[in-house]
Amino acid sequence: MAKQKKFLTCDGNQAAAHIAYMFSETASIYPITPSSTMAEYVDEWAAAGRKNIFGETVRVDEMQSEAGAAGAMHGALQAGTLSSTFTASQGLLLMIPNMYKVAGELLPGVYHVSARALASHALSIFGDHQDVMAVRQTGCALFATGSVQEVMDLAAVAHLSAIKSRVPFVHFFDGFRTSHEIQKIEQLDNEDLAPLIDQEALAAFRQRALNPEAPVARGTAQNPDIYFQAREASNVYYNKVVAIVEDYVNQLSALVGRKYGLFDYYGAEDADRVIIAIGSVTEAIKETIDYLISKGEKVGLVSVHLYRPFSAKHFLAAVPKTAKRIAVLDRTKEPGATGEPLYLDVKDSFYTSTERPVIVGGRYGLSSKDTTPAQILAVYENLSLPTPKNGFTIGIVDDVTFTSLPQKEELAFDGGPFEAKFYGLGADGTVGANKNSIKIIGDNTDKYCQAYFAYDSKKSGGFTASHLRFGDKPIRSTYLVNTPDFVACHVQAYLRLYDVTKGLKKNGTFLLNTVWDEEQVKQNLPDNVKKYLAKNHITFYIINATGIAGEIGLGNRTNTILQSAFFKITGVVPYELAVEQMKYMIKKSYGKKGDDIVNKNNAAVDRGADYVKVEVPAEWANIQTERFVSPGVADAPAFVKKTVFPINAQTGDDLPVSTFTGREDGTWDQGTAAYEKRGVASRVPVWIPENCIQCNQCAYVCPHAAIRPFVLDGDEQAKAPAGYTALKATGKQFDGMQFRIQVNVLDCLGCDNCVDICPGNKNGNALKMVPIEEEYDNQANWDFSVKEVKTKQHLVDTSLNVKNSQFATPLFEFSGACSGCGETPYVKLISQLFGDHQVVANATGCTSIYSGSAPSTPYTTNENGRGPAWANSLFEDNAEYGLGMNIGAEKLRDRIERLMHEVIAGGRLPENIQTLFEEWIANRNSYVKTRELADILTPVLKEYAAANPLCEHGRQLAGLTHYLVKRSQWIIGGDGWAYDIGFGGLDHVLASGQNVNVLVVDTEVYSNTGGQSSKSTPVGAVAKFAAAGKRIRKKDLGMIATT
Amino acid sequence: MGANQAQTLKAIREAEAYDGPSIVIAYSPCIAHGLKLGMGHAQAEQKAAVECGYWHLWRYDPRLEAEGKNPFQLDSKEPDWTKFQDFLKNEVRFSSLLKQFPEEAVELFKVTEENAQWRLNGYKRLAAQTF
Repeated sequence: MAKQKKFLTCDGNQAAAHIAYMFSETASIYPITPSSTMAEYVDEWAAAGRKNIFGETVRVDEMQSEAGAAGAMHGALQAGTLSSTFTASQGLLLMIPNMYKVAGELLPGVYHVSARALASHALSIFGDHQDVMAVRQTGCALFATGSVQEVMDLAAVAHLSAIKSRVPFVHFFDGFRTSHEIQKIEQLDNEDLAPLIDQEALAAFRQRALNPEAPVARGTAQNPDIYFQAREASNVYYNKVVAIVEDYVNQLSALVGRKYGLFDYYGAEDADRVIIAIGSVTEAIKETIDYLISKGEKVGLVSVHLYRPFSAKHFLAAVPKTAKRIAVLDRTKEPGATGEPLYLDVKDSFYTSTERPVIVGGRYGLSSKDTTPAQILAVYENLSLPTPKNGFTIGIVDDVTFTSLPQKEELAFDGGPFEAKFYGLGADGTVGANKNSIKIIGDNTDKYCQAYFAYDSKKSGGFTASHLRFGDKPIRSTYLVNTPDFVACHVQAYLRLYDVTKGLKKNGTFLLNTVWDEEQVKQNLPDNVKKYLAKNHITFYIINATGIAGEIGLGNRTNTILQSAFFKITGVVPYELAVEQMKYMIKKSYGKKGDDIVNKNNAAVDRGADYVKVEVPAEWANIQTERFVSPGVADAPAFVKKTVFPINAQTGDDLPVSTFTGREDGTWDQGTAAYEKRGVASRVPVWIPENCIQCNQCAYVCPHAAIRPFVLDGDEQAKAPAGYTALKATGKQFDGMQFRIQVNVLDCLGCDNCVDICPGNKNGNALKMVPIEEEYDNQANWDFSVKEVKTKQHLVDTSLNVKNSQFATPLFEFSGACSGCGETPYVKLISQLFGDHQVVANATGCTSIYSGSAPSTPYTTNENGRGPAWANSLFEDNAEYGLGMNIGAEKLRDRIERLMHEVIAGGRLPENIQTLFEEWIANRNSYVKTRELADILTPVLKEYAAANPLCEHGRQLAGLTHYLVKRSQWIIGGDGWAYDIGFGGLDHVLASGQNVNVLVVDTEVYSNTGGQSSKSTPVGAVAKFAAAGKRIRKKDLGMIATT
Repeated sequence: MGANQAQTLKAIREAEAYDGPSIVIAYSPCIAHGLKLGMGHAQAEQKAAVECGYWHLWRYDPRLEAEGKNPFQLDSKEPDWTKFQDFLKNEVRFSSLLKQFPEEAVELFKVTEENAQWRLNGYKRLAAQTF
């Protein structure tokens, strides 16, 4: 039956949620990137009254953790409702115990998973299959889809098969690449899918529900006599799953008009080399196969949909008999195994087959590492070798254990889609405008389109790259745009920071947003860009969107102007239509905010044509220049130069494995944030000394530690650069010294809190905001201040009052937090008070991201090299993690005490040393005393141990000197951790009696995952998962803690 | 912090000095709140939160109990409840509900205020205890 095609421009999460909504009666949820938006869609649709297949809205319950969500789902299934949840990564791991239960009890639950990496040596929010491969033993069936269209077409298989087979299903697709890739796809609706439900099986499920009218017991304890047999009894259900799934896949194939199977084969009928893979990579492999077949090569692909139960019969039937060489690609890592899971399954399947191909396995794409056709080409070439490499990797250079296949040049396919790449600044509207553009193109033309957005870990003012493709055929390029036809650089400063023209196709187009005019551009453009433009015959346009936005009154919102310029230059849709649609979208987005904002944005659309074409002089092609060289601070440490700078220049992909030799455990140096010098504020404060009362409040509230008081003695004053104004320092302890408030222009985020808090004097405020361009020269004064002016904190009691606290050097500075962050002033203050003996356990969340996103570490060291030691374990275990740190350190301090007691009892200790030992034992919990004693004892103990190598006590004490000083143990996290997921552990730790300190930075919402409601969220607040306003009373954590 | 800088310092210092577990709950404005005046006024927003009764400042130190004193100290002044509803309207997380579901929003905001009063009443009772 030919169905009227209905198109939808959406991402994979929306497609999955769209299907899940239809089949769910209840959904128990918990936020985790990149799955959160699935649950958000379901919550929003429920709030808006959308109906599922049963003619009702879905009942949505946010739980305290994924473990809670899994438990609630289990209960809802036992109560006889069809229940779903949405998760990934650590969240899926937390569901494992319940997944065994749900499977063991044959309940038809469905878990939609946007598959993501697991935290090991480091956390990663990005996509791979480590999480789903960690649940393949639970008894849940695993069903995979590889593109946004496949999610829409096949997600229903999981629900339908679960109902019919009684086996719960995990439906998974690649985190970010599929979950967040926007594609124009064909849509399914309730009426398409409702008829496919096995009503008899559904009725039987309802009948089996727990029911006091006909009571039964489930979840009993069983002993050696029967557990085993009872476990084997469920085999009959698993034996039927394959046939049930096959039937549904066939029915859906007929419905949507695209042919799917349990395993799909693509490629030459007589292929000699075949790749086996799961997920989004299969799309890129198909592209590569088309290319290779056009060159006469015989290659193919088997993509896996039903991974568990794994049907060897169906698998073998999908592989051409001609296949002599097989490469299995796994997007996971299983250290210690003889191979990754899919590879082992494939090898095992062939064990009983008469075919005997050579089978090798390899890893790819961990943490969303881009997997391109060039890498796939390397895999096929590996298969052509006399002895293909096994256990290989692609997409990286492994110069330590030499697993990697040789890297190839990226392929540019003829007749492929139009590819565009946009460089923007976080929160400048570039990403939003591109999402908008893709809808305009998708909804108004026959073209297929794809959009993918890449970000760094900065909370704002970070780097963004938008990757857009448009074409007449469905787009299968499941990787970044590497060879764009069009590049737009929305930030002039990026010309020197990043290699923005990299990969731009010959005869392509480059649009630069710049405040320079044509002549200035010709002077100021970096040589590498000039050469590239000329050599590759690039059409070059400039536009001063920054200036135009200012004129219109849009501030720094250049996005609409640049979007309009993009449409005009590329003509991807008729410009008049684009203008009409952009204005329509503006009315939709801003209509409620008033006519003024609508008119300004409309004006921005009209000004998009104000670009200038710059003639590229042919002689630029002859410029002698290095390839793009990233800028760096000359006196940076070797680690920063070798590792941090390349990552900041967006060339971290090129770093080989050996970069991490010696850091295999994920160790990172502190203080690297200071080398970024991002300079992303548009306005920064300037100090007006004559109005300053030296209260230091500006420094106290600065979220970024970018404004500080400096006190200069006579020598330092003499060395100060010209124009380094200062006041006579107030307070008798600073007699004869001078005081200056110094702004760090390049690390300031321009939030304005310092100006807002400044009391000034009767003549006015002592701080005002000015455009950053006026203050660049002031950066030299900052450099002088931090390099040449010694801290004077020893002259005052820094804990006495707010003013004094700010003479202490912050040991938390320039984090990637949002401009104006409400959390970081507290974190910074604690580092000033206790930083040199502070240990931090940090719950996953905003705090962990801005405190430790490679390559930037804001925790730093003082002039003695001391500072906070910081570590993040997980989201749910942070209180326990911090408690363990304290227990461990105190255990070793107990040993110091025991050894000291034993030595004293030995009676041969010099009297002065004995006194010091006794003092330490009496004062071991005093930081001040133990610091003094440690300074004396450490050299004494080390010297003694060196001189008396046979003394066991001396040797042991000398090895424990870094435990002499009493530590300040901090446990830091947000309200999502403290009120919800980590509450049980926090409660336990608060009851433990141990000397640990907890800081809860309470934003009353899950800030890091995008603002979902927590138990700290007050009634009436709108948050994600509380789309219709929070209804439950805010929990009073403080009161609970006092009891 | 924005409501009483010295109290923040005192609370952190006392928490750290206590030889046992301590917890500091620090009100933190966030971009997710949608401050109408912008994040540049994060400190001012904290001040407003305490002034209107949305948030309360207190410390609880068990050491005081050992000294025969009330361990609970309410640090914030009697709020000006007339400012409460305006405070909510200055943050998009609340004001957007008013746009979307105006009638329910009024009801819910009343509950928000009652909850805040309920919390404060509890604190006041604790602060008034004799030891």
